[in-house]
Amino acid sequence: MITALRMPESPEAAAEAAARGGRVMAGGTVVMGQVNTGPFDAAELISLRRAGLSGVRVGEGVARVGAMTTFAELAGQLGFLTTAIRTLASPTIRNLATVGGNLFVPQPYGDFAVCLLALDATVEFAGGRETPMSAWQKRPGEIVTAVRFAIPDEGTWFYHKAMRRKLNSAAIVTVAAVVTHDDARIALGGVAPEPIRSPAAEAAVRGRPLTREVLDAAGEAALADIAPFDDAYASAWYRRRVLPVHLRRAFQGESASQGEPASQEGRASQGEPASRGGRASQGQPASRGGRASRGDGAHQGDQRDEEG
Amino acid sequence: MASSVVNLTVNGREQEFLARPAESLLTSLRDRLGLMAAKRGCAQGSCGTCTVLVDGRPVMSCLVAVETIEAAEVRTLEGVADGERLDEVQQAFLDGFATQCGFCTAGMIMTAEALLAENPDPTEDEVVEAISGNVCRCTGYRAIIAAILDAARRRLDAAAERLDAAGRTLDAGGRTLDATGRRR
Repeated sequence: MITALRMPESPEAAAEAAARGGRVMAGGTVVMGQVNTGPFDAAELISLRRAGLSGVRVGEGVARVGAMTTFAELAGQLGFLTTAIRTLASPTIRNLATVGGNLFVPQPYGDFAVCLLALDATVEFAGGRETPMSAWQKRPGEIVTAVRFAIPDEGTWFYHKAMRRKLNSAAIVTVAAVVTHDDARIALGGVAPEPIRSPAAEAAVRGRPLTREVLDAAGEAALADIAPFDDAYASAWYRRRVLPVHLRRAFQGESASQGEPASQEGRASQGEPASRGGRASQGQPASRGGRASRGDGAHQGDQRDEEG
Repeated sequence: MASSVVNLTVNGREQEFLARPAESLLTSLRDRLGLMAAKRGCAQGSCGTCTVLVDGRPVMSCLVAVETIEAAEVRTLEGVADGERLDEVQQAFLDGFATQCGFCTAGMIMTAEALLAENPDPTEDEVVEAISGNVCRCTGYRAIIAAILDAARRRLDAAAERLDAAGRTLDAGGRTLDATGRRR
């Protein structure tokens, strides 16, 4: 039974309230469902809605995204993330769901956390502490105030999410990566209890051309790093089976021919990764993003029928 | 557990009521204000039948703690028709047999209203994406998508006709319209 909903007006006040045992709520898309269907494990709910944590700041190649920024607000502000954001739930959920909240949702949700891991983001907390995503050990009661990351150079960002449907479904496998000529960060969702980096896949592609052979080797190598699970969307067996394919597709799309390097042009024509410049210049929110970017999701209305 | 006073503007009318801690906007609409169009479906944001507009944006009202949107402007299906006259989206749903059991209809229409307000001439893909959070368990999506596209066409046609006749953009009630046929 919830006896109070608090709306602290600063992150520090929110941290104090959380230290007293309240449950923190960001956009509410997960917490309110639990409140509605009960039983609920806290007496107090702490909404961050008035804590002053929304907004996106970009400067000197670095983006700082306030924890309470919704995905609808974020869409269109950082063009390279448009494709990824459009794979997160539905537009109506993205009007509520926040960047900070996404860090706390259980797998196979939380695709944006996978992106942040690949971006080597820094997480900022109330009180001034910060930590790299990759080293973050979650503690109860901590209040995330923002995430910060360097915007990847054009052509170095890759994202692919395999779902049961083309829209509004959880991850079977999510792949997000930043790969430059001499470095590689590859993050995976849907294949472990938390989003993970795959050091084995990173080693397999680091410093190599993104050919079919290299990517196939990376996909096989990644299997050493995962701990997949069964759920209503897919079995652990299936996730393991399809991970190498989807890891390759993150870089080459579905139609790339064997042995061909993932050329800049090839990528752009998949409508998926890396066309940061092009999308940013459209200056539009994701929900109405250019029709050219629809190449990855030529969804049909009756596709939804297969859900049941 | 102390209830608190909440103020909202709902369908243009100011409302003041008591809400329990963490009460959802959906519960307030249905149980406090007697507005029954938004339906209680899954109660966890999966089905979309409780979709209403909060400050113009479509959200699932079961996921909004009503105390957190104090002073917001809320629009529900009850606020869409002009008296007895259905608006274009409602009329297109009726004419196109876009309801089967009707349980998803209120949410579908509100999501469509938000889409058409932002994008008066959507493609089919854009309609599909917009309603991707609204489940029709009868699986009548084809008729719903067609009705939303039809409603967009009706609004654009009506706006064009009014322009031709009077040389300025007024609707039947004399209200000024913007270039896309929406009431200002």
